[in-house]
Amino acid sequence: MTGSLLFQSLVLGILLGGLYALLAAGLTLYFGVMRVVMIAHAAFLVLAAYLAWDVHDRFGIDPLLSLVVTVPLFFLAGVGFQRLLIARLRPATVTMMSVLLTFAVALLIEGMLGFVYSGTQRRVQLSYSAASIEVFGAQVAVVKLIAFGLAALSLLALYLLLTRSRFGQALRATIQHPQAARLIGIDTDKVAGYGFGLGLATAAVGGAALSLDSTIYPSLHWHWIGPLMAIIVVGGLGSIPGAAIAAMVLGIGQSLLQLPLGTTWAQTVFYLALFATLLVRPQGFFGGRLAQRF
Amino acid sequence: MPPLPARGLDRTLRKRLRKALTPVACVSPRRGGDPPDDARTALRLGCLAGVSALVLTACSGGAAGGGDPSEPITIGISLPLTGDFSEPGKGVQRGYEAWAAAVNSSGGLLGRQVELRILDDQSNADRVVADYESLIAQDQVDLVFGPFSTRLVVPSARVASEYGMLFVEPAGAAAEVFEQGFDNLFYAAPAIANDHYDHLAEAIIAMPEGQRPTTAAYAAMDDPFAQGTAYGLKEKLEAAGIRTVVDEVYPPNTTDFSSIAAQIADSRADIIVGGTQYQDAVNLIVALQQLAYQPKLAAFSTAPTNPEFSAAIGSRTDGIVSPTGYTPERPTRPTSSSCSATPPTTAPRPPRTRRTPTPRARSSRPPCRPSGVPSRVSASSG
Repeated sequence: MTGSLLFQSLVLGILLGGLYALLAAGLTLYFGVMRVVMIAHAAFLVLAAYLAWDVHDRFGIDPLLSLVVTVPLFFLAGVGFQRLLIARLRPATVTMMSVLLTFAVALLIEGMLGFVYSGTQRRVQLSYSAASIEVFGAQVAVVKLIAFGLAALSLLALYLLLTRSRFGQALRATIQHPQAARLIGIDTDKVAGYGFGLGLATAAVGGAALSLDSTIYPSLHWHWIGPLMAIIVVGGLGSIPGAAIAAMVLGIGQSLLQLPLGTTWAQTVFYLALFATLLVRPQGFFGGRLAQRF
Repeated sequence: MPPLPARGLDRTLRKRLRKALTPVACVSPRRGGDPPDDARTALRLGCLAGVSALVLTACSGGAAGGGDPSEPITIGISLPLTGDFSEPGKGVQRGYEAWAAAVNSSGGLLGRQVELRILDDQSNADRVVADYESLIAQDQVDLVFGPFSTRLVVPSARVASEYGMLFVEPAGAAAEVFEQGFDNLFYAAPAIANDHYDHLAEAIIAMPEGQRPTTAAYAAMDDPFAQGTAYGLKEKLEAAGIRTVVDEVYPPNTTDFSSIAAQIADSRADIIVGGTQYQDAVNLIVALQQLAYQPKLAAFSTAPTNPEFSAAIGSRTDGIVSPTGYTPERPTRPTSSSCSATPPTTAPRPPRTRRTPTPRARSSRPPCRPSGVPSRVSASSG
């Protein structure tokens, strides 16, 4: 194993970690705001990827342009999903029942994708699919770089929104203590709905990024939801910075472990990290006040 | 040979069938006039299906039967029309349909029209079992033909064997298909997976010392056929002293090939061998291109034989080799004088801009082999 291979794998790990970070941020947001375990997050991700592929396939438009439509659409769908379905679950059992509910939604989306687009694997074919630029001896694929940039920008936007805006303050207050937030006059129901919409919007961005450089098929979301769930537990449920850091660490870990272990076994890094976290620090390694409530 | 009931066919009919089937012409898709892709694949697979039928007639010995000559012979087939194997699966479907059309236009089998009943098993081994059970038990088809690829052939052959049906399959090439003890299974292509690259191995080994590649990288899907092709070649090349520098296996649904590609690129292997089906080959090739890795030769199983391949890879299919086959009875090979002195795979060729799927048409040309010697490579097997 050479140094350049290590460096190349590190670069690939960082690029992969960026996408994980964006998606895990959305997933942890649902949990933070609503204590909802959103199994369907990755299904929405794949749905967005399919829409991006479809737009490209049908009209020859760059898949990234699909974001103009999918991001607002997913945001609205998220608000509607929360207000119409999640809000109707009994607060005492919302975490458990949300698993069932969102599992059903995931199956519904998967089945619908299979019905409309068939189970055939799809891949967006772009003129710059194979292009790459050299950075300190490592080859960085342009599509991966775009996906990473998109993820980083969205994360930054999410971060600024949460820390700098009044809505962000209200959202964070809702995450920290819903009752107290209501006492000071925050409409937590509305905020929770918007929070859910934001989470789904990250799936829309992630989907477009995914479609640039990955094969998609209807059941692909099962390959994503496991690692993403592990990431948000390791990072501390409800903590967006925690999710981002854990995503980066585990993404790089997976990429580097593929060298000695191979593709099949490197996937286990997420679950080993999950077991270790639950044994050593069940509330997660970063942030994670919330996990203690279980 | 134990008697195998081919429902609906009695003995005399079967004799006539044997005669009737001989004219199914098998034309090599690789020569003369370059028919369009679809037609080419259809022809090639049609040949396979034709061969299947030949084997079938040769083997169905006297058993009880019957059948109304005015009714069509229904043939039940389950194919992976969606899912992992959808591209090669659709190719086999075109082949079966081409065969049925050819047979029906020349009077049918035993004077009866052939009717195909094709189900989609979604590349799923559970589904394929259910499909063949319903074809045999509910639809009462007269014959069953096989699906695509070992992973689906083994479970479906078991169903056919349980029902005592003859099972002719065009594309289950891994050695394990033949190690299950099936006495009803007939493989309609010329070689098992491990022998698919025999001619390529011979060609590489026959190269002069200075030109011969010294290192090779292997990446194979965790799939009996895909691994069979890659490891068959690996064994031969290793025995000839060509060093293995990367040997990776990945799960069937892998979508991210960047890490495997990084290892291959870093090894600077002279040649890359992919034990692939379809999408995995496309993904691996794109990932290798992203790393600006240029091997002297790239050999991938199955994927390059699909018409979709060149659209997915773009114009860069040159130098990609894939094993394909043809019927030995047909003198499709040029005589030895027209073989190139140096196999086409020795040196990297300058990139060309043609967008046609050249790989199997040109690069897979086995080097100098006397005409008339049966090829041990086979088409689109799995």
